[in-house]
Amino acid sequence: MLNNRNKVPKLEPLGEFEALVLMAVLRLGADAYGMRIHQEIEERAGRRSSYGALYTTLDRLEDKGYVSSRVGDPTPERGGRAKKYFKVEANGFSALRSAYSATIAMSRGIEPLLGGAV
Amino acid sequence: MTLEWVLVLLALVSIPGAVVFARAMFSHKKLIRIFNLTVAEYKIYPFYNPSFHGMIRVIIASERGESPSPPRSAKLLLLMIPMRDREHLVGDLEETYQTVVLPEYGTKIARIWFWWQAVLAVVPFVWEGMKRLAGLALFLKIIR
Repeated sequence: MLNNRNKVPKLEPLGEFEALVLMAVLRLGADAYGMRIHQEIEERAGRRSSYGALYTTLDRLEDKGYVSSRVGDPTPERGGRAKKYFKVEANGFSALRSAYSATIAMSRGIEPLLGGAV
Repeated sequence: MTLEWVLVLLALVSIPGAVVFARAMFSHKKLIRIFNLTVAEYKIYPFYNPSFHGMIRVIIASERGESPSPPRSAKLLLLMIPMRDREHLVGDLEETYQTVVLPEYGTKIARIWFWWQAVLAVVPFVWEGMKRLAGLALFLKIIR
C-alpha cells in the first residue's frame, strides 16, 4: 500500500500550445531559446504566435516543473541582452508522452474521416 | 555615309552613357542608388539575394540618417513586461528585427513590425495580470 509520500504527483494535462512549445524545446535541444522556439513553431506547425504568448506559456511550463531555464551570454545583435535557454525536465517528458499517447489513442480508427492525415 | 552617321549616333548615345556609368561606379552614393533600384525591382531582378540586398538597404538607411535600431518608443511599451522575462523577450525581438526583418524588408517596414510585435508581446502579460487581479478581487469578495 502506498502512503502519500510515495505517490507520484499527478501531472497537469498540457494545452495545445503548451504541447507545441514543449515539442519545439525538445527538437531544438541545446539551442532552445525564445527566438528559435518561435521560429520552430512557425515553420513546422505553421502556427503564428507573439513572443508574449510564447513567454507566458514558457513561464507556466516552468512553474509546473516541465521545463527549466538558464541564462546564456549576451550578444551584440540582441542589443547586449542575454538569451534564456530552456530544457525539458522529466515531468515535461511524462506530460508530453501522456498527451501524445492520448492523441494517438483518440485518433485511432478515425483516420478515414480525417482524410488519412493522422 | 550611312555608316558614318551610325557611328556618330552611337558615339552620341554611348559617351554620356559611359560617363554616367563611370561616375556611378566611382561614386559610393551613386553605386548604392543603382543597388537601390535593383532592390526596388527585386521581383523581376534575376539575381535577387535577400541577405546581400538587405545589407544594401541597411547601408542606404544609414546613408539617409535613418537609425537601423528598433524604435525607442516601442521599447518604452515593452517596460510593461515583468522583469522575469523582459530582458530575454526584448532581446529575442531585437534579434529577429536585426537579423530577419530589417535585412528582408528595410527600415520602415521593420520599425512598423517592431511596434506591432511590441503591442502583441505586451497583451498576454496584461491579460495575465488582469486575471490575477480579477481572482484577487473575487477572493476579497468571498472573505468579506
